[in-house]
Amino acid sequence: MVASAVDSALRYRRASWQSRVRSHPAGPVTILFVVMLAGCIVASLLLPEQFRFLLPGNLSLVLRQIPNLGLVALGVGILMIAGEFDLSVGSVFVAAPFATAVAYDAGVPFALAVLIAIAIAVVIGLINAGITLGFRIPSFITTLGMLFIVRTAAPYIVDLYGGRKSLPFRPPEGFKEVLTVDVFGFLPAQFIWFLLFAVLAYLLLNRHFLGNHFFAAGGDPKAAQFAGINVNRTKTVAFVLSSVFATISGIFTITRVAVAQTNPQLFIELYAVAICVIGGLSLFGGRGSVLGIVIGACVLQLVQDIILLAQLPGFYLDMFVGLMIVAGVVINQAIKRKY
Amino acid sequence: MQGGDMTAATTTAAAPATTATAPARTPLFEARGISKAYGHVNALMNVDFEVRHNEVVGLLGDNGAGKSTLIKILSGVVIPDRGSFFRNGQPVDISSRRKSEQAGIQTIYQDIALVRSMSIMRNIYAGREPLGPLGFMKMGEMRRTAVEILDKYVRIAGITSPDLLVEELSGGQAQAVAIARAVHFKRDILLLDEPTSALSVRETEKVLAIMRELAESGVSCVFVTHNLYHAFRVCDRFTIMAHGQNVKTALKADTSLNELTDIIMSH
Repeated sequence: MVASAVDSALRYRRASWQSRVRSHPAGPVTILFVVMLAGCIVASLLLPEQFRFLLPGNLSLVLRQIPNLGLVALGVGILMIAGEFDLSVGSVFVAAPFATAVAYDAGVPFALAVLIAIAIAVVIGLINAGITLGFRIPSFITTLGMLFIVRTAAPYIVDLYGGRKSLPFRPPEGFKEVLTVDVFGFLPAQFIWFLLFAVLAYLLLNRHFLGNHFFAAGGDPKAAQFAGINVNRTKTVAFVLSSVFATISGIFTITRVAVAQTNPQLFIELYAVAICVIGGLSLFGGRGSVLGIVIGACVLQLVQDIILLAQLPGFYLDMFVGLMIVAGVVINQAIKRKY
Repeated sequence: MQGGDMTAATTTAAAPATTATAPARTPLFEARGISKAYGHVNALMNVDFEVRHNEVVGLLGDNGAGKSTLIKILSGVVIPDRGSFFRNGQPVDISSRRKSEQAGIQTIYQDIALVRSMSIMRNIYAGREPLGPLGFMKMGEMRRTAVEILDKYVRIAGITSPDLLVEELSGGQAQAVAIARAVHFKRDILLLDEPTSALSVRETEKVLAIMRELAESGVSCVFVTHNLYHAFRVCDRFTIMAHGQNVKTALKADTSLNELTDIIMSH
């Protein structure tokens, strides 16, 4: 039974790169992105006056806007891989950073003001997890409820204390510069930060034991439990991460626009889910990649840019997102049926 | 119960099938006087069951006979109302799944043995990742050991890489990986619950062969099955259950396929 070890290295090898690309969850969206990008470049070269895609200002604008939704999608994606949804990110994205602005405006040291926002995010993540896992109800419902609760509670609390619903946000100069400077004159720092967070998310999902547990808990909770993984604890960590990523994105945004407000940014939660689905993450958990989320965010922004440059009506974006979500789910189902 | 008779019979006839086993050796694992009731229904009544060194024991019986309850008890998932457990003659606690695993027992259910959307390597280490600083996994060590495990215990054609997703494997290959994982993590009693029920003929042959090889290499298997032909081919000994009781324990040499069938049919 015990085979000689001589040929084991030959028998068991890394899967070929072709097979890895083919089976990678981000495969389809990567192809879509490359085709779209090539199309934009060709259109811009052929029609330089009408379609100004390659203008540095346009490219810089696209790169500046990707992190906004991309960071939220990273957190939502990790949670989707763990088998749950978080729609409350739409409100957390607004409310937690607003708390930072209020605290900082009231004289709280900046670092502490940021920590307050993170703490709020952690508490909301824990509540989402506690209700979903404790009462065994779909996270879609729990977090939809939390979306509305936080969305209405934030302005209510502000009213209660006679505060303003819109505050100028002027963080310390060093912080602002690190987040908003253009590297080499065209590459927004926010995009670089987004990529750094994406690398962190990649390491978490693919090199850290928590990542292994996220995939297992989302892929097959019973088998994960059977393997000795505490599924509820694993999912709780993912819920918290989702909230924290939304908060970080929100802090980035109020730093960039220099204003914090309680007005909701409509549909940010749905766009985040859409990015994940477009990026090849399964709505049923257990499948997905950070690469897919990053490229999904790029695709969404690229479509928005095409619509702007081609002067098409704005609702085309929603139509595209809707189509991509349905297409993503159909592809997911096809993969499930295949096995 | 037939515990005393069973012990005497087994020690004399098991020797030809398992040459490494010393006569009258203390059983690897014993469950004595196990009872479990759900409300007014007695799922198990004073059942004795033992697993000997280097053997495949068939746990047979019709639906509702109590096999599943016994397996759940041995897995630590269900706690019996009465009964005691011994490993190599020493009392052991198997009142939780973790404690059962610490006693060397691993149950391999066909449906939930592995996470299908994960790679073989990730499955092998799910919940037992070798960790470096800050909780990061030792990927090199995981890969090396995964290859070693596949090579040592599985060695089934078609598994070319530990990076393959489990959903890319056939049912037999997945079973083999689940078994390999259990054996690698020092479980020496495998409870295999209907491992061949959804497999092709060829894959069934492989799993049966793996069970035999495991027994000879020191890992005893409890083979729960409805398929008496499979059981008769691979088992050294049989325990037949009916209505929550152990109605017959016999060595392969002392019984026949027809007799086993008659016993099951007559209860």
